[in-house]
Amino acid sequence: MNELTMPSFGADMESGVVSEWRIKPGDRIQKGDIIAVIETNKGAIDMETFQTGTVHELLVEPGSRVPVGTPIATLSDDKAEAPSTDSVISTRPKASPLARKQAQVRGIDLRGLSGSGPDGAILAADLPTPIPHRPEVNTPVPGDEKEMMRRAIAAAMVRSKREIPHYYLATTIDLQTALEWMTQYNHDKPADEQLLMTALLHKAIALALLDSPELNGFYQHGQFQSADEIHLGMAISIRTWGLITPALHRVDRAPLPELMQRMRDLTLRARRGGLRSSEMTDATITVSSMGERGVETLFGVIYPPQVALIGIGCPQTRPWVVNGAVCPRLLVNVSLAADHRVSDGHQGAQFLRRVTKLLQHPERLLD
Amino acid sequence: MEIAQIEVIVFEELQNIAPELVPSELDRDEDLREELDIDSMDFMILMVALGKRLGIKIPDQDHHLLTSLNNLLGYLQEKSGQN
Repeated sequence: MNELTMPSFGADMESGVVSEWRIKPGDRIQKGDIIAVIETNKGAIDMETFQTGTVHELLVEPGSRVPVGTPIATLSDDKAEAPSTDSVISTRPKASPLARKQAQVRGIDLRGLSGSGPDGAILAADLPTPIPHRPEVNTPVPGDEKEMMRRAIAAAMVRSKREIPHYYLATTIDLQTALEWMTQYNHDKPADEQLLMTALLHKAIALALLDSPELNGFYQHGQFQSADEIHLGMAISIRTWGLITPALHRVDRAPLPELMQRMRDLTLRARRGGLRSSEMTDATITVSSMGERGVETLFGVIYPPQVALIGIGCPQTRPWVVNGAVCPRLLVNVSLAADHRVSDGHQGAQFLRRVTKLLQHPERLLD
Repeated sequence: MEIAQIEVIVFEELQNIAPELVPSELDRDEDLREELDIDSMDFMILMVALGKRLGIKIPDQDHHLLTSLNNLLGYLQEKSGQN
């Protein structure tokens, strides 16, 4: 029997509310299926499963808040005695049934606890003493989400500023050539097929990252692991609420029209709901275009365990020297905040130079 | 189409990108993007959605006319009346 647990959609997530089940006992599910809608501090997320099997039992009622890691449903494995069962649940800490039950009831995350039982298994006695008034399983209070998101951002940013030795670089990039190319491209196209400069910038950043693996990946457990793919976390303002950074997958390989469509789709779903759990967890670096709201330069705070954040300022037409003459050009300030444990300013500077170069040949960004 | 109907549609679509906006609190003569606090992505989403809802084309060349909410409403009324 396998368990489905409350997933974590980020290092800053402590608990989630199963707001809606999309499965029922007896349903056969496959990897990638959406099985529930989870209300989190980042809004409502569609939870995808990474397991295959038949739903045996739903363990929590819709509306219940449970901590990350708590079993929320059980699956009967179709292949009886399949050895994969072990690997699926191997990430669960070893614990006695009593400890597991008590932890579930009291809302304790077993991960991170050290056990005194056989093989380091966690026993009931290893659980922390109960904290009075701790909410166990409760329903969300309306209006609570805003506060939750604020707390989640606070937790992630405190961790970032405490643990990550940031260094910052910025450069001004001439976008005039890219603008003229894009204006030509957009000419006579209906609005929903047009490009925005932000798509060109994201594509150029992704392509430049191909040669900067030290900026794209995760720093965890004292070491850096570069990511195999380039998934840009797109910082989207949830207006009065805060900020969310769902992933645009494999941007380096996305043709511009497709990328533009995906960016629009992601922006809408971030505001209205309907983000998928994979989009919430696998961004390998963050790109923030908050600068478009008027500021010239953005000084980023890295979202751990990522190791870099790219900030895009507000593109503005300014005087600029081209071939010895001053002329009006569309300029943008692009910044890099990076983790000094993993890369140095020299590498960061090379990255920004590649972004600059790529944007001087916008036609090469198209496919 | 009556301006009141267009207004309903505009605010319905605005709900998708700026759910917290309260129509009665907006200054309808202020700069549209500033008053709604929307960026170019939001603006594009809004134009695509309004074009579809009203069955009209909103060409780029006309974007400079849409400087305030009142200008937008007036523009949409005129455009939809031409169909």
